[in-house]
Amino acid sequence: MTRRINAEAILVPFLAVIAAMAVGMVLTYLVTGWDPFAAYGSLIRGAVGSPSAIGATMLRSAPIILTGLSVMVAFRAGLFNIGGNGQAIMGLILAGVVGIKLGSLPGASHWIVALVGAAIAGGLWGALAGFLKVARGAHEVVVTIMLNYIAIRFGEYLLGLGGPLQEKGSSIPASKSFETSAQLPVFWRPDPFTEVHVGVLVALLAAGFAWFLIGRTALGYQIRAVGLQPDAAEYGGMSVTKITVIAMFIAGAFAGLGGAVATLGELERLQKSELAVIQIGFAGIAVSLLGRNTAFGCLFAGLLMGALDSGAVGIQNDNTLPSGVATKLIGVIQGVIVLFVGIDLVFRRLSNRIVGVFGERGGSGMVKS
Amino acid sequence: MEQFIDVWIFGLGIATLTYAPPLIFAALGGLFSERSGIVNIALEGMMTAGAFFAIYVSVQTGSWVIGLVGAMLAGMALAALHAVATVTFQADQIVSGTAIILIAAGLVNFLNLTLFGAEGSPAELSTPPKPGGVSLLVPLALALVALTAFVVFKTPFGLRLRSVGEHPRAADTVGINVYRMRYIAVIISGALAGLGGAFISFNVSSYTENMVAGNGFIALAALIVGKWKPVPVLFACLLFGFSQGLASRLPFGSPELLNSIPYIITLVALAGFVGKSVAPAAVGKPYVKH
Repeated sequence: MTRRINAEAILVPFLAVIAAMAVGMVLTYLVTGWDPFAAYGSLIRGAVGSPSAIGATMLRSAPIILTGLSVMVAFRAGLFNIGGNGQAIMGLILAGVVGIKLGSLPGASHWIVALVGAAIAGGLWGALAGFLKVARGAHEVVVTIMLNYIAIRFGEYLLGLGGPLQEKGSSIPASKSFETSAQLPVFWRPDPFTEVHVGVLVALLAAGFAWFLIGRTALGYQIRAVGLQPDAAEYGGMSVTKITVIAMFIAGAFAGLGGAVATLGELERLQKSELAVIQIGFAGIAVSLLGRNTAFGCLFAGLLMGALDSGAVGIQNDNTLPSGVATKLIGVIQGVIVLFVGIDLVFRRLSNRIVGVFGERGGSGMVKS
Repeated sequence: MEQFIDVWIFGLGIATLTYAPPLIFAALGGLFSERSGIVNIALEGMMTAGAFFAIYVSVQTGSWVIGLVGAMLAGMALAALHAVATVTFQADQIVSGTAIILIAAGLVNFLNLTLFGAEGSPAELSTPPKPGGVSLLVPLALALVALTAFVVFKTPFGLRLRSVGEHPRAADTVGINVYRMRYIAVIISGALAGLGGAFISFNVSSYTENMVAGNGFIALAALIVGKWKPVPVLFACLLFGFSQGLASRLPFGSPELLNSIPYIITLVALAGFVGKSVAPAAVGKPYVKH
């Protein structure tokens, strides 16, 4: 078997990130007049400049690595999962219910049950989209967009004033606090304010699991076959219907985990106001595209996006800016990265030229592995 | 009885005419784009840009008319980006749409924080008049439905538009410039989505973060439920606007669940339980010239 060692696969995302950062610099300068180089210095310090910065980067990466894996698995099955937000919301709602309704549970069992529940809830929400696609021919992009908003409204109903999950006697649209045993245990405290929890390890494990599943199992092979050639897969005796639904279940499960990790790790309770602003599903699209739709690609891309995110906080602190400004700018950079990876035609030519300089023609060589 | 009529008949009527127009503008925008073969899931982002720039330009110039122009230009700029990516560079239309959603949300809220600061836009600004509680933009929305129906189905431009969306190769063969038609259609969709966003922010005379709140996606839903035809799309928008209006005045029960009705109806329509929605044939596929 030959495997393509693809210079493009690394160069194209790399060039896209560089270009997106450049766009961000120009924008920063045009709108605010800040010195963009100083801003990027703050960004790098905020992302990796100290143990607590590295901890913050890990924390911000974990949920989007998980949603990135979600988008990746669906992609491999030939589906565009734009429903990561909704699946994450279903996951975090279930994790929250487990976290507040079961009382205190012994040892690690509580948060593990909560995460498993979140994976199942997100998975079912994903599987519903897969089912509507194969059984009824409804395009998964529009279906998952609609399911996102149904999930938001459902969560807002549960947590709204008088809703079934809202804390009794409180005037805040939020649930009561999670049991301590449901909160994700902290395994590293680089400073008193940064608590790196096991969600980071969950994301790492999930990436390893996804790599094994897609590349090393019969199911993964079937998922890839359905993604590449559904008709051939069907002809070869696979059930495209079954595999599509299973792939979307797995995709949804990753996103559900992402929602739960973000919630049980970072928050004390479920909050209505958090639901409509959840963006980790969209960020997952950026992660998966940048990671070239591979498990380890998602891991690295997720870490990079997480670094941008925590670096944004660095910019904010160094410049005493209104809260949120730098995060918005990072949102723009993420969007530009997605756009550039999407129009990779330009970057592919550019990367071919770069590779050409090193004496290899055509950009990619075939070697035996 | 009189009170009942006031609250429920007039009240709901006005509420519908508050919630439906942004959907109408944006859905008509989506209609142009998708009829030309380009999926535009980024209507939400273009509306967000329109909502902000309507207020910003109106504050700067003191004129809501120029504010509307600003909103349209902002939507068109994002749409042009979508067109460059999807038409010229043949990027995946969903990927490009996702990028535009991210860029719009980040950029607009970044500008809002840096230009207006934490306290938001000034309280006094020029907005479209509302005789009898109904914005002047409402008749504009309805007129645009008629205009769209005429342009898309009765003019040579409309015929070309539909032909590049159904069978671009054939259209190219008979001499229609597929790329140019798609550029025009996508940019029109940005202008209309920008108007939709302007309606939302002008209605409350300010811009706040996340105020578009999924309306772009409801417009996309209305486009599908209305089967890419202007008049059915109008009715879908009115229905969805009505359900939002109802949710906002419901004295009992859950407004949130009622607000999920448009999405559920769309799922049912997509799943083909009430007459299958079929998109233009070439929608979503990049066209590569030979």
